[in-house]
Amino acid sequence: MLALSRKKGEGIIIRDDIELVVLEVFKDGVRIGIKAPKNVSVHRKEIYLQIQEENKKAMETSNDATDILKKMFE
Amino acid sequence: MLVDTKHFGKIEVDKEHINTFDEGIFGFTEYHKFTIIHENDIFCWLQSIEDKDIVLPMICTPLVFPDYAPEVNDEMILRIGDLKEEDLLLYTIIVVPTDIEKMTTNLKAPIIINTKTKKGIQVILDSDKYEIKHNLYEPLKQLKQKVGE
Repeated sequence: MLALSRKKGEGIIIRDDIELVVLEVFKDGVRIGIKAPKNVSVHRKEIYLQIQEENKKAMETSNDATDILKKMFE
Repeated sequence: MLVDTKHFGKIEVDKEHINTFDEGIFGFTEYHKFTIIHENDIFCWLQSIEDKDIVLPMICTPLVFPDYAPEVNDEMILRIGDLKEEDLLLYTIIVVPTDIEKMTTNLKAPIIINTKTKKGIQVILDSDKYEIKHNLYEPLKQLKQKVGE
C-alpha cells in the first residue's frame, strides 16, 4: 500500500479526477474531503463491508423461512 | 423471455420487467439484470436474470414502514435517470433466519428502481437514521393485525 504524509489542507489527486483533502486532524482521527465525479461511489469502508455481508446473508435465506413469511400474508 | 429462477423454475418475464443495475448490488456487482417477482403485496424477490442462484428477498418498504423516507442525494438518483415520484419503486432487502422473530430488513441500503428508465440502484444512505438490521417481525405482526381488522 502506498503511504503518503500530508498536512492539514494538503491533498492527494488520484487519476485526473479524484481529489482527497485533509480537512482537519484530531488526536486520533482525520476529517477527509473527497471530490470525485458523479459516477464514482465513495463509502465508509466498514459500512460498505457490512452491507455486502448483509446482502450475502439475505441470499442465504432458507426456503423454510420464506414459506413461513409467505403464509403470514396469505 | 424465459428466465430460470431459483424459487419458481423457468418463468416468462416480459422485457418491460427487466431492470438494469449498472453497478450491480453490493457484494454482487457482476450481476446487472434483475427482475422482481412478487409473492404478495409485501414480499418479493430480486431475481438475477443472469444467474438463477442470485436472488434476494425484499419487502415493499413503504407498505410496512409508511414513514420511511430515505434521503438520497440527487447525483446518486440521476444515475438511474430523472426520477419522478410516480416512477419510483422502493424496496429493502430482508434477512430471514430460521427463527423468524429475528428477521431484519436493511433500511440503510434501499433498492431504488426507476420504472421509466428501468434502471435500479442500491444506495447506502449517509444518515445514521436507519439501521442495517432493523427488526421486521414486530412491524409485520402489527401490519397483519391491521389488515385483519
